[in-house]
Amino acid sequence: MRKPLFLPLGLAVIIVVLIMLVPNGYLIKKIPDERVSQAATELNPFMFQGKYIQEKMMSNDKYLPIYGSSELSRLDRFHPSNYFEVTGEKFTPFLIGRGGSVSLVHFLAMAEHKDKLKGKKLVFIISPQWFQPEGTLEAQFAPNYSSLHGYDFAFNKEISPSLKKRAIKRLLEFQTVSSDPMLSTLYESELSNSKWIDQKARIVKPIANNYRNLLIKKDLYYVLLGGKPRERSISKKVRNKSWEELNIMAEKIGKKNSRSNDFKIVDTQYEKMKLRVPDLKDSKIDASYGTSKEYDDFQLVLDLLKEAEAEPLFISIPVNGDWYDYTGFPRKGRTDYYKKIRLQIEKSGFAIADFSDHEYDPYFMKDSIHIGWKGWVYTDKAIKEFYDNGNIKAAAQN
Amino acid sequence: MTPYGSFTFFFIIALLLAPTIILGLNGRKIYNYNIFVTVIALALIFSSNLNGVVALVIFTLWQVLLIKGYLFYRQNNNKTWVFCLAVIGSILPLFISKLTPILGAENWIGFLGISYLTFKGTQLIIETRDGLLKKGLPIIKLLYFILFFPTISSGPIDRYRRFEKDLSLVLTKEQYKVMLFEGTNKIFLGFLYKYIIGYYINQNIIAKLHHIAESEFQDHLYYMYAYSMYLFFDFAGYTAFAIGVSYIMGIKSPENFNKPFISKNIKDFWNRWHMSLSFWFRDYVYMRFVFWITKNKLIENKIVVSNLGYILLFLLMGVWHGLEIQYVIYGIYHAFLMVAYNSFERFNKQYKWWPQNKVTHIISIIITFHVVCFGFYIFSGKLFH
Repeated sequence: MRKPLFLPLGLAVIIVVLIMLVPNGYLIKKIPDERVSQAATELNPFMFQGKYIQEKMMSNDKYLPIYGSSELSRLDRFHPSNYFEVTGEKFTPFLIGRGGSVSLVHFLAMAEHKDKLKGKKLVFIISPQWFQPEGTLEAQFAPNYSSLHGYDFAFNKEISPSLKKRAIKRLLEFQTVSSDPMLSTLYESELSNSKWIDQKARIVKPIANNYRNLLIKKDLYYVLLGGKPRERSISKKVRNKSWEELNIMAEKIGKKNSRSNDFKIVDTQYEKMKLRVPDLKDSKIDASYGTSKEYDDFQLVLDLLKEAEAEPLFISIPVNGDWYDYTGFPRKGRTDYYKKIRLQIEKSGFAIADFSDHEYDPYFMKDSIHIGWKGWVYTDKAIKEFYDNGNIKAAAQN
Repeated sequence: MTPYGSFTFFFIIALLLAPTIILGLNGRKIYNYNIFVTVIALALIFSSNLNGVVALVIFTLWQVLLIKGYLFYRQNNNKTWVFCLAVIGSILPLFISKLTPILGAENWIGFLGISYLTFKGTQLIIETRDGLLKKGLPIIKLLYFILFFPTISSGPIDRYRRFEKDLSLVLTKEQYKVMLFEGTNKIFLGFLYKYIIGYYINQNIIAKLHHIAESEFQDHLYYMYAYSMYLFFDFAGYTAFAIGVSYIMGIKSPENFNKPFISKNIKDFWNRWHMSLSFWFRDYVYMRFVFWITKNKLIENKIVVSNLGYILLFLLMGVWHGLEIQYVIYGIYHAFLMVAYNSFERFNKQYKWWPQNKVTHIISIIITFHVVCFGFYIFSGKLFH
């Protein structure tokens, strides 16, 4: 029988309590000034799910947030972060998003800073593959969902009640949210008129608020620790080039790096997937992005930005046409999506750069679904135009 | 609220158990207060789902009626068909709840933990038949045994006579201090297993397999090992919570795992993996079956009897997880392994083909590990979906 020894446990409790008691002000003072600029290209998931850095970024006009997903980590020399750094633009792109960062995830992150969104320019890259019929799945949502954003949203008074209710209804469909007893109680009390639930929420609220403060502190600790810089291929060769010259350069680089296959997929990526390729032939003949829950989630983003009076530029990116044809994914299932999403954005009156006619444009895509090379050149052009003029000449992209 | 599923749950349980700890450390009786804790904890666990509450109440009433009724009957009679009816009756709710999803109907009878509670009911019927419950069954103790909240959702599966012995003990200050210490240790071991190691495997390997694997085959191969590890750490972590909380409440719930991945053969594995389940099947299915066959002289060959017993045991264990194809095949797979190992063991006894030394011991562990992981791969259902 082991001898009972409670001292280590007591010590551990004391240490944890001490860590929790350190005042936020003290932690903030310890955070180095360059943390925000470092975070712009780190693509650190803790930052995506956090609050402090995004808040700083939002209130600084220098930063142009770019919301997107996995394409953001394709950091070749044409990537906005690299391109605009070399050309010495007066704004710095700030990247938010990774694989699985779908509309709903961005919605929560943006809702955090609604008060700072007024007149803020931002870029939002929409990926077609988000628009699966059943929308985002638990497995993709859960790792990208942030408890801090979830709790903050419950306490958020900036957002109109109708929008808040719609978002809550959707959020409660995810187990990650519904299985959190405190948060689901707060959410349900927003939706129902039941006295019993309201009473429950009244009891839960102060505890939830404490928990939320703890999450805020946790975020500050993560900021203190910082992230890892990403490997970026920055090249001075993109400086002082016309868009046409950049396109030619991008095609050249694309060609050099995608010799192993006819789909013009970058070799490093193709190497990883080549054994699966035969299985994928004609495997998607019934697929379509034409109807999806994601459209409603995306509408939440549009409505939020509308309410906040933000100035977003939406970028509608295509898929790799050759590859999608190979998998048998019907063309209609893609064009339906391009049309629908464009209409949805135009209806809310926001700027859009529609690249959907670049499905078969060589080296526009870096692999099956991610833009890169030439895709980034077009994106850079659209961002520059949007930043300088507040809008872009719609559809005049070719 | 899912037991041990959120920080909130642990926080509430800690608050509820504070008086238990104070009483225990003063050498006072904690049983009465613990009954109160169990009622509150059950309310918390089932509060989000009214259907679950109704199903649990009906299930418990049904089991208590069966057990009490059979106990009353058994005082003067002992007919086999009555016993069989009682056993069938005690398994019936579980059977229906496993069958309804297959038939596409709504599972109105199921609730969190029904699979595990059924073991407790059936066990009592069998022990009554054996005449082992002479002292009678006070209703409060019976209910407390069936509904003991730390182990309600997924075990470990306790035995009534063992449980009852713990209840009747009043621990001294020193004894309770040791229990508290061991319980706390187990709970923190659970945090390490479930929420650090298991979580890490799931987030960084299983969820990212399509980035890591370069082909379908690799995908499935890596999944097999990652899932096996995840299953162990998740389940062993949960079990550590359940046992830890039991200890703090003065009950020494049985262990479920004993380093299963260093088993030297498949028989050894089942003595180390989900032990409370495999021991239950061993005592109440395998032993009874073998005894019954021998007593009635149905089959002469002892080896055949033992193999049939294993086949019965593992088929039942497979189906107990659910009637889905992966569980049935999982059962068949382990039945096959057990029978094959039985033959190998006898063969080896005669011909001494596989010597006993350090090297062969390690090789045995490595082989068993992969064979077991393949079993979990079947169990995961990835092959069938």
